[in-house]
Amino acid sequence: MSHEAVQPSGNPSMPTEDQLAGELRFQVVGRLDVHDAPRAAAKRSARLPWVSIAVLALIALGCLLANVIAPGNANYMDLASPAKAPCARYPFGTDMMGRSIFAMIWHGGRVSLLIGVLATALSTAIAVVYGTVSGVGPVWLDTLMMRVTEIFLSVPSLLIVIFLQAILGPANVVSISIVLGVTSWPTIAKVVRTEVRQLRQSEYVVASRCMGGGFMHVLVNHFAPNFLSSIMFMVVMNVRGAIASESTLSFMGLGLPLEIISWGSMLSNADRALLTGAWWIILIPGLFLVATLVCMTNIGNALRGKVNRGERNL
Amino acid sequence: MMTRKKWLPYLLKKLVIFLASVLALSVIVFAVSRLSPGDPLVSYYGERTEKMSPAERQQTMERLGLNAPLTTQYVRWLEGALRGEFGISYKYKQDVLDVIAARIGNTLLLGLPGFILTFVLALLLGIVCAWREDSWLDRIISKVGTVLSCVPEFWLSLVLILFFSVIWRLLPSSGAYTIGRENDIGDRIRHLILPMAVMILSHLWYYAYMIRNKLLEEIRADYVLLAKSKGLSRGQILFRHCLRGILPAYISLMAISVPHILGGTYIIETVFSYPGIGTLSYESARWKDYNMLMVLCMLTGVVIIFANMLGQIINERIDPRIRASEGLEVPTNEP
Amino acid sequence: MPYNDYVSVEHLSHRFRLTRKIAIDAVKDVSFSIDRGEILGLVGESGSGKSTVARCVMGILRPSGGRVTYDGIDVNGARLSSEEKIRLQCERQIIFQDSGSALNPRMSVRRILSEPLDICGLARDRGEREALLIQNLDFVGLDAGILESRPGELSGGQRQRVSIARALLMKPKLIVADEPIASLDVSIQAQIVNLFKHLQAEHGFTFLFIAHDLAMVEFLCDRVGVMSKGRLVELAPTRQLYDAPRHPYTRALLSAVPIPDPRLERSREIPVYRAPEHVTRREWTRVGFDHYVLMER
Repeated sequence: MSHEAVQPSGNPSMPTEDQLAGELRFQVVGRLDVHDAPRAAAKRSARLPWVSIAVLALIALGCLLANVIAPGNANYMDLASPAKAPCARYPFGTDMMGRSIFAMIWHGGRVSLLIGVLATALSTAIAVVYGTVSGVGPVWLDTLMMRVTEIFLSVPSLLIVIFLQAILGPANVVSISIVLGVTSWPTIAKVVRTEVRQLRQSEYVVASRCMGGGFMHVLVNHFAPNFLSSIMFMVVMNVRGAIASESTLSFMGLGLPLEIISWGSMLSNADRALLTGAWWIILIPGLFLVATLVCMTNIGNALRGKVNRGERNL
Repeated sequence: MMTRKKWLPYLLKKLVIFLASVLALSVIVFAVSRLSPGDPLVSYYGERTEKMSPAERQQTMERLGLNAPLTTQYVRWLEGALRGEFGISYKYKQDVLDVIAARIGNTLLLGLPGFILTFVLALLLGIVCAWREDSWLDRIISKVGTVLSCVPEFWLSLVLILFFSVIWRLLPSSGAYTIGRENDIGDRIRHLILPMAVMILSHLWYYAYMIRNKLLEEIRADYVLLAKSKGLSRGQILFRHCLRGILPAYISLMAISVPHILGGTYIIETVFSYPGIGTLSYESARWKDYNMLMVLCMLTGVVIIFANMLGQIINERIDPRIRASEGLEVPTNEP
Repeated sequence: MPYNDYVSVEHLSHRFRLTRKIAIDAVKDVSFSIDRGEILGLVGESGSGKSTVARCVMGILRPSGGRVTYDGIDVNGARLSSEEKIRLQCERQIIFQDSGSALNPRMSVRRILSEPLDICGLARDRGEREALLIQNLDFVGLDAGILESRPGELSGGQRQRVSIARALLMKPKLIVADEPIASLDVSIQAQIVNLFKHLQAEHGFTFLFIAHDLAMVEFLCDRVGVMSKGRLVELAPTRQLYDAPRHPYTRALLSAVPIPDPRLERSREIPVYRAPEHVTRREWTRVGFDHYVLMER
């Protein structure tokens, strides 16, 4: 006997009740009415940080439309008016070289955000592959790979950054994204590995492998949906970290040069601005930078989800 | 409690891992610093390097031992290191250790009080926020803290310098002391205020938030109900029981925060041109001062590895809850 | 060598290594075979190695000794043709004890049921697949309305039915059920066991049923094997085993089944089985028609 024996004759779509009664040679016991099954109402576990989302969206939109908001070359130097305080012509003033800070904010924001996204995409890709391999691998491989991440974390990252920069030649957007991406994967990899290690014992993964599912099938269908939610927070934080690191490096003269405008490189001649007390050169790019970072932190925290703590006992 | 019998092999094992990590670190740091392009002679002879004839160059390289294969250079360095000789700094033309010794005091003066203050304040803030959970005070502190923890150290430094040194002219903006007043304690402290403020402000909330959340978990434990039913006051429960509960977590947090805070200190030192280890690392990395770079990276790495290991030991051995749940690993067997 | 047995387990043993020093012998020298279309029950207390046997039969665990063959194919064979591999994947299906963890909580029932089809690239046509899913849900007494639900929204019985439907989808010839009813309520257990009986009668698959509920096994199985401490101690046709158990452990196990009369139940004495401490010889002895007992001296 096989499946065909019970299939209602010639009608592959839904059989009618009569057909079922006539054709089936057995009565299914305990038929349950599924429509009455309680459906858990989809609840938003955490409130979305709308203010942060809106501010971030505004900044991102402004950067995308940089050519509309501030058309022309942002690197144009108005040599007649260097370090000019905010006025009608230059809403945010000009820097030491007479460039309009208003234009630089939007054009530079593009670079900063792009570096954040590129670096994070790279580090997440490395982390997912590394973490999954470590998670499914035998114990010795897992131990070895985790030891490597620890040593990696203990080498001062400034050194790795300088080294990589030296190999890749003069810093540009792509090279600095690669440098930041290559140095920021271990924390995500550790989380992926922990999740995978728990999941690989679970019966649905075993069942999937029994059905013949390969490594990629299990990774895409079972592992990824599970660890995605727990690394989303870290991914957003990674974007934030990459933007902050880029600005720090550029400020210290180890990142982007002055002529590639980013929020970090705009601050790199801040010491000269300090001497003249030109506050707008320091405060305005920094405020945009900090606002972006704060919004990302809030969004990241919301993604992590508030733990429902229940009643306090104190 | 662990018996003495089990502690010894455990610590020995940790020591072996520690030494192995340090050795691995030295190999990596050595390879990285030697493989990165750049002319080390520039740091030694500055502009004059360009005027050197190829023969002179060759001779100098030979004299400094830079022509030998990498493995030989590494072994030579390691031999020296074991005897406590780390070579001379190409830039300062002095023994590396002497240069570091002259500066490490400054870094400790900034780092240690900053570190301790950060954690004391973080504990206080954490307690206040946990005590008044979800009150307006907690919310305001949380919001301000989140914003502060997002501000990059270098920008916070710039803003503080802008206001306190440039506009209000209250505090000095750079260095560790005014030239000629090296021994004036008041002057030193005035130079420390801004860097230390940056250090504390930028790290404080990160740790206070963790402590707050740990305390909130602790407050929800069943033993708190028991203590309450016995008639203890809220303060007694919080300070005598809950704080003791989070103590292991607090200490291991301090241990694992070392690399984080150390990295921040280096950046802060550079911004304030504070003559410490951080500024020195930055300079030696930029000017390819190999011997100096090696020692500084090793120093930093060793501190970080040691702190990580300390955190691990606390987690594995001191906190009884973690030990109890250690158990045997689930049998694994791949098809 | 010709294989008459459909599934044969020969001198199977498995050892779990916990640490470098500690290892547990979960299964020791177990041999049995299953005929085509037969329902074999495997009973024993928790930790007696039943699940390990099941996992070895499915190839999830690689046995440390002995071998398992399915229709002449060595399940753990190193050199299997791709055709043999596909046969092993499609013709053998497993149903787990805890349907809660056997179904990915993030997937809808539709995706859960589609997974084996996706892996094997079957029924790609949408209408065809839909019909197949509905048909298989119908086999297990669920209707199409459940397709969009997630496991968390279903009851334990419904979930177990979904796992059964998933196993049935591949039209398997061998189903291994690892305590499929242990985590269900008693009334649901009866439903599921009934369902198994009907499905087996309709589809004619071979069935290895693992349980510790003796009543269910008696109702469902053709033959029953009893396991204790990693060894198979008795194997006999169901009636024979329940009427005339030979091994002391089997007797103790059977007498532990409560009698549905409180007065009798209270007054009777339940024998406790203590494994003999020093066993020098173990012999697998035939004591009746198709009835084998492990003699321990």
